[in-house]
Amino acid sequence: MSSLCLQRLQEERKKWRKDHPFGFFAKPTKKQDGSLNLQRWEAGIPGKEGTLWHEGVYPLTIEYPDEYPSKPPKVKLPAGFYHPNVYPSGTICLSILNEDQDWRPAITLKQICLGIQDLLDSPNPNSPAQEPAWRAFSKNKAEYEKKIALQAKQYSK
Amino acid sequence: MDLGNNEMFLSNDMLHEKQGHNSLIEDNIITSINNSRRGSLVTQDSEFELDDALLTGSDLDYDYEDELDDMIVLPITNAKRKQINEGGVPNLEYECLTTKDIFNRMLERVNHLQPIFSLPLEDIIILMQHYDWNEERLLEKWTDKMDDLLTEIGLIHENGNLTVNERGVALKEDFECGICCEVKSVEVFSLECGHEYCIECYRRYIQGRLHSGNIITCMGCSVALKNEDIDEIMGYESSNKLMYSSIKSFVSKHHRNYKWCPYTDCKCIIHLDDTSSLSEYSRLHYSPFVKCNALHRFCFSCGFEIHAPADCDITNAWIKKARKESENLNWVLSNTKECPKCSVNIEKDGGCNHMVCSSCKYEFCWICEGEWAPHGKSFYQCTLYKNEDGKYNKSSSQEANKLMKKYTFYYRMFNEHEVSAKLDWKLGQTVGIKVKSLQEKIGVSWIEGQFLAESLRTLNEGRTALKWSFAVAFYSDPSHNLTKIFVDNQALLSKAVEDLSELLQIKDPELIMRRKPDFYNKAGYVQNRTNALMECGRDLLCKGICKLTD
Repeated sequence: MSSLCLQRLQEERKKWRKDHPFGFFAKPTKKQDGSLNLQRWEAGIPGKEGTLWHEGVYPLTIEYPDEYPSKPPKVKLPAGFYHPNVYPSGTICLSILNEDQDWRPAITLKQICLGIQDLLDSPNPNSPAQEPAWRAFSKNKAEYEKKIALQAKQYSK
Repeated sequence: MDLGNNEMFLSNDMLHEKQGHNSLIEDNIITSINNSRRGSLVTQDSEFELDDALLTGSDLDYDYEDELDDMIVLPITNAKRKQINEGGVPNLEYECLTTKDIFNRMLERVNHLQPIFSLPLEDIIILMQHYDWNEERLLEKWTDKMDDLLTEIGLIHENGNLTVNERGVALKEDFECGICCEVKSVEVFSLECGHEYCIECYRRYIQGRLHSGNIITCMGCSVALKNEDIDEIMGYESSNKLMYSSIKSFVSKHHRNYKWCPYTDCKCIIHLDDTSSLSEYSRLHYSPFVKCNALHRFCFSCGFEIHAPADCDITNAWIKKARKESENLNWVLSNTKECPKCSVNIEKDGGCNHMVCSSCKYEFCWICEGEWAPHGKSFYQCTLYKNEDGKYNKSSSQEANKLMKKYTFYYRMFNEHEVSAKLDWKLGQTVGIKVKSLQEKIGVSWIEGQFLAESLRTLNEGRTALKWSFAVAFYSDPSHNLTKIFVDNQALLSKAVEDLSELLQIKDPELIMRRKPDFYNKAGYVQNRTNALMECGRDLLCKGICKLTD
């Protein structure tokens, strides 16, 4: 791991502990020997109040590549997550997480987490990443909403 | 090679007289593929040519390619003129460029645009870069929504405020950089947006993006870095790297008119302005061979080395076959697809079928390999799915075995000549030394010694033709009479090539000079045999005796 990547991640951790949005959590995972693995984090994103998503806290894994912060981290929800912009593998399709699009080295963990929370309730139908959720979202809203509510229960606190 | 020497040779060589059935073919020398003689063919009927040029204008080209005509001004004054040569195909008018040439032309265009935009040159470069150096698209958008465009590209800060913060480098004490999170006294760079980061982080960031060819923005927002900023941070003329990579992506996006020379380390780009005659070439089973400034000859259609007598289809099929047989590439075949536009191999590593080629940026559907645009709103509605599994299992295993044996035979022949060609190449390295020793030891002038280099070039061409003739032979109907003639021609060329190759092994300068007529004879013969083989191969293709079977 490059020193720049490590240094920045330590700072990200410090900042997060000092100040993070209510209901969210994020922490580096532990290696087998018990030390911290700063390149792999686990986080939880609460659904927004007043939306179908609000009951759940959705688990994320965040993997920082060695080239971070030049390159963005890879952020995943659980495989099979029901959302039009989430690939079957759980990888999230979001422009700020794409190096060729809107990723900037200055983007922080907090911005990423808030970005994903936003995405949950406002999917982008123009970049579908999985079939079932995309199809339901654009053709059958009732079914989509039912599934979302069900999923929220599944991930409730 | 001087063709006047043929007569001298005709009386000498017994072999030629025996093979009476080849004489007709032999006389028909294909000049169409010999672009080196382009300059010497003088137009005879200028009226006809003008009409021809008007009729076959680039109507079929895409709009951006029409645009190219304006963008890149050809230095050759008669570039638009066309000639019909003996082979019945129009001569190709092309030019050889480097990225630097193209960049200079781009800069010229930027200078022309400056009065229209009344923006600094730096800003116009950013605009052009964003529109892939396509002036027309840029102007269209410009007249439409000027401010939106400037914001989108990052020339105006989103709040519309251009002058709040100063652009550039400043020294700051106890500065905490948001990227590396270090607190230090350091040089800090910022754009109008006011986002300040230390210069070391900027350097690392820019370094990683100079080769992408894309516009580089502020590390915190979308305001664009101009070339002068890049030079200020990275050092004098660093932005040239970005410009060249941008030109490179321009070339791959306009691969219909621009082709990289396929030879290793060759930096030449061939620009063919008018591609309308290419279809004529493929119809007559000719290949549009071009020659770069480094004298490398290659096919403009498929971007491969000169492959006559095979045409592009046979070449393609042959190469694919050769690859398929190789265990290493099995994986590529089963896990990747070729970009339908630029043929780069693409591996699918995500779930979405909306593919964007990282090389030419073409958007297509993974399932049907068609353009993405019509799929737009009906995701997964692709009904064009073609099942390719089982396609190769049709023939019974016995038949496959037989085919395999046949292929192996031809491939071995092909390969042998490829290896020989490489050895000839090494031989070529010594030719230069020989010419030098001719000059030094017996006082032969440089120009007089050139017959050696010419012989070597002829040898290479003969070798290459021979090599590709085995691909043609593989796909030809073996029972047909013409195929047998073709095989005879192969044998004749093979013999001629070996003879010439042997002659080129001579090291003694005096002996070389004494045998100069032999060089002319043998090289002339190789050239004649090469042309005959090419013409015979073309005949096989035109008559459908050589064709691809699925």
